[in-house]
Amino acid sequence: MDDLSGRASADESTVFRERLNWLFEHVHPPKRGPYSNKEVAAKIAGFGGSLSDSYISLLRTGKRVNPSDDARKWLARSFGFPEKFFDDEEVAAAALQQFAAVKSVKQAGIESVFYRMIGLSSDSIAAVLKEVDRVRELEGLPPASD
Amino acid sequence: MWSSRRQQPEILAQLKLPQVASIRDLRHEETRRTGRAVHIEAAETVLGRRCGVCYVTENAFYIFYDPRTSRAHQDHVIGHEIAHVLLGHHEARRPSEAVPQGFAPLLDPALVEMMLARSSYEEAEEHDAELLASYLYGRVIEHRLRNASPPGDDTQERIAHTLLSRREAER
Repeated sequence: MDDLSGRASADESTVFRERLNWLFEHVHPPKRGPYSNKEVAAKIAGFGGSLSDSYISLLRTGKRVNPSDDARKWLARSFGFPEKFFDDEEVAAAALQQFAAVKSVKQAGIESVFYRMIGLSSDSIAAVLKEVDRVRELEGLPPASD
Repeated sequence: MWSSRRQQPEILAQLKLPQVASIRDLRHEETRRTGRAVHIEAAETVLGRRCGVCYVTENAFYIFYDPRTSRAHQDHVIGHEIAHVLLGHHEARRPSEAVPQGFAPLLDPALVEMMLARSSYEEAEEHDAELLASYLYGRVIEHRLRNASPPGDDTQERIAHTLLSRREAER
């Protein structure tokens, strides 16, 4: 997950393609496979955007590069990620970290969480991840994978 | 959280808590009431931002507090987390409320809810059980129809299959 962010040296279009494929691979309801290009196209149409599934396919394989700003926003949004996900390193890194935190909470079998807090910085997300790992350990679960 | 100080005694009276020497000892009462272990542990967090946290699993409550504060403050923090449970806040929470608002502010709340949805495997199990039940039912019917006719009777066979497929279609 970390390798998706902070890759300043990599080609921009490669970063875009890898991030897009990462979304497809990781962001889908539990107990079902990844969304299809068609499903994502339908989702985008659902909130008023417009991208064809064949174009999405070309973007994923790298046969088309540099999609429009709108296309980038729509693709990120269709997965529930922030619109700047493809363009802003900081936003992307923070979103990935938050995704990991939610996922680890789920994987640890945590039903709910009570906090006394004001805001949640990336430092405190790191603390959350540490605590969730500890919960896993105490629950006798293997360390978080992925 | 109570709205005015006047309500405090009433809430306390309703909870019927035992006398304890330390607020930390309330963990035993919590275990008695919920059947879940209560684990209290120090965990350094970002000072000034978060004081205490309670993770709830099927088996236990895990309370973490910041050890870099005074004992009195720690007790207050632990008391706060225990209070959540005594007030039943861990029960009947929808997945969307399982983690506090602002836990993943950059992600679409619908995505967070989807990820936390507990229904995934439970619903799958329900579905599988339902499916198997209908197969079993179909087999019982088929068995009955077959036994009612001599084997190799094409007409009977066809009727049986028609009945079965109609039953399938009605479902």
